[in-house]
Amino acid sequence: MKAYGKDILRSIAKGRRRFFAIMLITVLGVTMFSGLRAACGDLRLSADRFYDAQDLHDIEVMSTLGMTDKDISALASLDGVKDCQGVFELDTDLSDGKGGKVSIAIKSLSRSGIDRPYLTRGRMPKKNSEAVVTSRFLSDTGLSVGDSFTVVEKKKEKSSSSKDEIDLSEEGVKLKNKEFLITGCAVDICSINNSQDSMTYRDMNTENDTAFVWAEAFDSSVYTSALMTLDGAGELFCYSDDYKSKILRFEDLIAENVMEKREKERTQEVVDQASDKIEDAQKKADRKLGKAKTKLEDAQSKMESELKSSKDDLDAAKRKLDSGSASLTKGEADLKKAQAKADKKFADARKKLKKAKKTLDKNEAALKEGRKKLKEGKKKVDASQKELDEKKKKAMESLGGAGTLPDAQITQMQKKFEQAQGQIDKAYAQIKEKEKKLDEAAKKLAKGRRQYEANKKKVDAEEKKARAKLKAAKKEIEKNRAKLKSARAKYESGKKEYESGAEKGHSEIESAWDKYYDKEKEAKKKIADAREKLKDIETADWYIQDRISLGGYSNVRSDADSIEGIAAAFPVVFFIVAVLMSLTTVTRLVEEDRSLIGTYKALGFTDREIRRKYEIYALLSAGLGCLIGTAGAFIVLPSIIFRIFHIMYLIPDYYLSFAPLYGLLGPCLFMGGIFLAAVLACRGELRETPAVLMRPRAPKAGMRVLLEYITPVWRRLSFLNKVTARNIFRYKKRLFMTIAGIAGCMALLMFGFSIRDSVNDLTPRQYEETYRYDVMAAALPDDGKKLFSYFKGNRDIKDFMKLQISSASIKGSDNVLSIQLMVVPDEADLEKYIGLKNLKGKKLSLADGRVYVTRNAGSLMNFQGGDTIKVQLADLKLAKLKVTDMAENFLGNNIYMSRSTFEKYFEKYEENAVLANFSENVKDHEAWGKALAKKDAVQTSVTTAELTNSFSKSTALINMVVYIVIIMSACLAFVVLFTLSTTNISERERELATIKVLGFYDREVHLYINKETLILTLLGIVCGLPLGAAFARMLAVMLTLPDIYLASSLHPVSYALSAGLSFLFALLVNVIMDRTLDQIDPVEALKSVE
Amino acid sequence: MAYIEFEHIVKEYKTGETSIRALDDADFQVEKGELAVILGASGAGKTTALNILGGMDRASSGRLVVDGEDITSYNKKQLTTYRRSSIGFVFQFYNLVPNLTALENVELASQVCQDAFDPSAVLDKVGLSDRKNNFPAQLSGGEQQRVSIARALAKKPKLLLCDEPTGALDYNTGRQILQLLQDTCRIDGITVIIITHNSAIAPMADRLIRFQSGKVRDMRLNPDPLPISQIEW
Ligand SMILES: Nc1ncnc2c1ncn2[C@@H]1O[C@H](COP(=O)(O)OP(=O)(O)O)[C@@H](O)[C@H]1O
Ligand SMILES: [Mg+2]
Repeated sequence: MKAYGKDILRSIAKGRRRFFAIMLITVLGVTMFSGLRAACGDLRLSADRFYDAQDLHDIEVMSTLGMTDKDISALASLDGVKDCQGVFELDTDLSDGKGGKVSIAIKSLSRSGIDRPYLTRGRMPKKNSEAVVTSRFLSDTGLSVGDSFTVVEKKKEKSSSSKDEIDLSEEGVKLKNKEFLITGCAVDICSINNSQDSMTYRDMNTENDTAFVWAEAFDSSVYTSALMTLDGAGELFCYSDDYKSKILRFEDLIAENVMEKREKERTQEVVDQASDKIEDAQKKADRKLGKAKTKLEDAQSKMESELKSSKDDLDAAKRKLDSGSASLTKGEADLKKAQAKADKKFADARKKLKKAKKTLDKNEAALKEGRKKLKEGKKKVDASQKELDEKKKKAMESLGGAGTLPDAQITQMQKKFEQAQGQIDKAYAQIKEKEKKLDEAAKKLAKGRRQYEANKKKVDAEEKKARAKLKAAKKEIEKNRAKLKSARAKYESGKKEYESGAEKGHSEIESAWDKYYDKEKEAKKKIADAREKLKDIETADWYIQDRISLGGYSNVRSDADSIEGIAAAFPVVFFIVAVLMSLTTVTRLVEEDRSLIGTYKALGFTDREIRRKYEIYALLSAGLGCLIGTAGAFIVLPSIIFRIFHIMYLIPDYYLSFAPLYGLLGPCLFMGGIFLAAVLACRGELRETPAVLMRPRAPKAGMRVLLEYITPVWRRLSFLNKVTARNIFRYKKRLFMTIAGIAGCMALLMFGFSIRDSVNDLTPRQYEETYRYDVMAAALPDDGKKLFSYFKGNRDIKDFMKLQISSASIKGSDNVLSIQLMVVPDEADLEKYIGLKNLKGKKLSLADGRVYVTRNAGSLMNFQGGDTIKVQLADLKLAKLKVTDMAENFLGNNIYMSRSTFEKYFEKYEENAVLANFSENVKDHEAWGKALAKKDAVQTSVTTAELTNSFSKSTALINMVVYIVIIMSACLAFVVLFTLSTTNISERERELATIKVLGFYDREVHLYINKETLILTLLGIVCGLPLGAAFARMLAVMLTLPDIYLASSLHPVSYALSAGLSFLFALLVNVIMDRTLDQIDPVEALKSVE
Repeated sequence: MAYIEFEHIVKEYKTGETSIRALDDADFQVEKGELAVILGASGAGKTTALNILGGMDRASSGRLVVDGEDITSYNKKQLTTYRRSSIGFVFQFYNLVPNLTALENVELASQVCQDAFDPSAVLDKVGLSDRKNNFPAQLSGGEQQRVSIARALAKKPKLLLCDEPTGALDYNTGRQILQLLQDTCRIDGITVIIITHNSAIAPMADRLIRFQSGKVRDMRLNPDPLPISQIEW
């Protein structure tokens, strides 16, 4: 058999191309068959090893009332527990060094090493004042290893524990010291998602900023949770069903044996503690109140006495003032009297004086009158004298002249004259007397006047003296009065002061009493409330969780599952195409050896011996391909995908593994397929007799194609096109193979592009059609109002809506899904912010009692509209909700309900978040959102612009898979075309040699063959388009990611690209084939049959 | 100068260290319009000579002149053009394109040269008027060889080269084919060269060339060649 072996080797050497073609197909097929799956397996394995290396807990038990040492020991005493440790966790804020804040978690390190963080840099803490932190902690806070940070304990988040209530809950977790030195950087084994730059859309809420300190650094007796590892769980693969069932069994064990008992005991403990606390509080309050009361009473009496003494003082002053006033009055009266007396006295004196003066004046007047009268009398007398004289004279004259008058008459006249003279003389005498008398009176009068003057002088002097005396007295009185006045003013102010003081003091005391009574009442109420609260004190509810609750664990699982989903579709198509191709190749190989087979047969070799050559050939090429393919599947491809995993996860080392099932199944299938192809091909030939075989095989009969009967078309074809048309249909196998192969590759290509398109379409679908708002902001607990104030009246904001957003989880039988709960005010117009549609595209409205859950949650947790689900809020409150309908959504998961619905199922509705649309003012949405996030009271602020951006960065894994799919499909398309073309040329070598002999130029020969290839490729593309579209449509079903619903889409450009790529490969293969064609030597080709 | 000058042609095949001389200073001439028959044992180098003559192969050394053209100096493209316009080949196994009807096979040849005969007329001439639309598989060996000759003739070749055209045919059919070839030479004035190992048909030739181990052992002119009908073997 030595010669036979040589023949095999020479056949391989001669048919290198064919040998490598089979090998390459097998490599591609085997690589695709297990490669993606292997990468997934490796991811799971690497995660498992990482988990095991860091002693990740299998089970975590939490309680609404925390875990105590008793709980821990109860759990630890269970059979099969390897380790059970209580751990602390404290949530708090740190400054990010840029004016913002970072919420961080401080977790305790257990001495037993459970959940040990994986140190990447630095060293583990040695002292209680040292900590290791996650890398995200460092990047978010801007700190680095060697720096210190100080923990500010957060105010208690529970809004109910305000001042006017007795905090019945136990003291929260506390740290002994607040300052920690960062000694190293580590990976939190509970959170191996690398959310630093990618995949942010899926765990926006996950806490990754963690610091680890030794448990001893905590100052608390109640643990946050109990972590357990189980005997033999580490040995199990943590993504296996065995592991899952082991854990579930143990969870049941806990639930049955420990949970109920400990819940009761713990509740009682807390109730006892609380009543003690109330008792204490009452005592304290009583004591405090009593003290306050005595103090108050003391104060009151002191004040009273003080008031009294000051009142006494005032009274004395008043008395003195009054007496002063009285004496003043008396003095005044005396003065008045004295004045009056003096007045009277002087008035009398003056009156007398006046009288005297009057008399004097009267006398004087009388005197004057007398003198006047006297004068007049004298004058009269004088006149009478004169007259008499005159008369006498006259009479004399008349006598003398007239001398003749009787004497009687003269004597009568003389007598008369004498008589008148006598009278005048008598009057003169009288006047003289009178004058004398008058002078006497005047003398007397002057004497009287002198006397009067003296009297007056005396009176004046006396009066002056008296008046001066009075004036002095009056002055004294005035002085006294002023004195009194100031004293009175002083008194008045004193009095006023006293009065106001008294009033103030009284009111003070009164209000103090009021206060006291209030306090007393308050204290009583507090106690009463507390007693009331004691009744409905929270019972200890245990929550047993396993690794499914850990984001990293679940993400690894879902990522692996989703890639496997994609991977599942490929090998089938690949396998079919690959087997078809190898069948073609092997068949051709056998056919080419037709006469040789005949010769061997004639030489007496048995069928089996002859067949062996081809079997060995096929198995050798396929085997080599399988070997390389296996390396590709389990080494190369995973290594490529690991690069993406490195971005997505914080797993330090990735392990390559071999999955025997797929690792052997793939090669077996391929080897089997190709082997079978060889056997089948040989069987056809071996059936013939040697004589027939040794004659050249009758060339395939020519035949008329359908097209020829369509005469108008046929006639219009050029001669060579007719030839092409015939040739295409003559080689039916090739026709079928090419179309099937190209269509398959097209489908794969389109599938790859469809993943890409669907991912690209996600963001507009999610952030334009569904999330119509521009920004969503959530407030820190109890800070809603402040948050709303940023939006109210802000010109950047077109409109906004307040609502409640809480984190929640949906609990399934064996899995948990974190979800965001959106509670919308009853009257709100949600449509402006979120487009709610059901899966059929019908608009949904949030009427009372309706609950909508996004579709992805439904498919992950396996429920539909109409089903009832268990929803748990962050405060561990649990409710069963009936889902009205599923809501269309693409990224993330939400539960929507109205306020009234929420209040029906849960408790208090509290608006803590805002959805808003920007006005035209805002140009840079992202910056606006980031600026808001830094403000006070803002917990998160995300813009859809930012989400869109970060999502596009986060599609690394999917893109990688897409590239792999596209490259592999492209390779397959290439190999298909290559194989078929090679076979085609080999089959038709004589024909080609003939036309060469006829003088066809090289270019004409190329065209002769290439036209066929291109037309077949086009046919394949045409068939591939619907197939690819169908494939793409299956995408959403195949790819189930926890937070993503990949609604399949396929853009026209992708159709074009797939078709274009296929066509390009056809052209490329043609170029290669042209060289083969050129190498056909008609001399050799035509000689061979001899 | 003769129509065909085959001057000191050497064709050497190198296989590893040893080299085989298929033609070893072969030298002959053929005049225009002659029917030449090349005789020789198997392996004597007849086919090699014909291939070189037909522009299908190159000589290692020596000179080939056809109708005044130095063929040995031609590049590949020129050789193709030479084949295309000047040479008609007839093979032992016909080498028809199985996917084309008789007519189409002839058309295939006439397509590639400018001044061709009407394919249908050529088929009429070779006596296949009734089978024009049959595929090769539907024709007998002789008929296929006729198509093959028709295909060669359709191009109005300067030279018709036939490598054992009757090798795969029975006696009578072979005679008919040889008759056809002789007629072609006589009537159409085409220079025909026929390779055969059957020396019995030598009398039909104008010129007889004997090959032995790559050399032309003998070249003789036949002053009166016999028509095939008069030759029996
Ligand atoms: N491609 C080749 N490689 C090596 N030797 C060859 C090749 N073609 C022909 N020969 C050799 O050249 C010689 C002449 O062959 P050929 O011209 O075909 O003879 P025939 O006269 O039978 O037609 C033979 O001995 C053969 O061994
Ligand atoms: Mg020969």
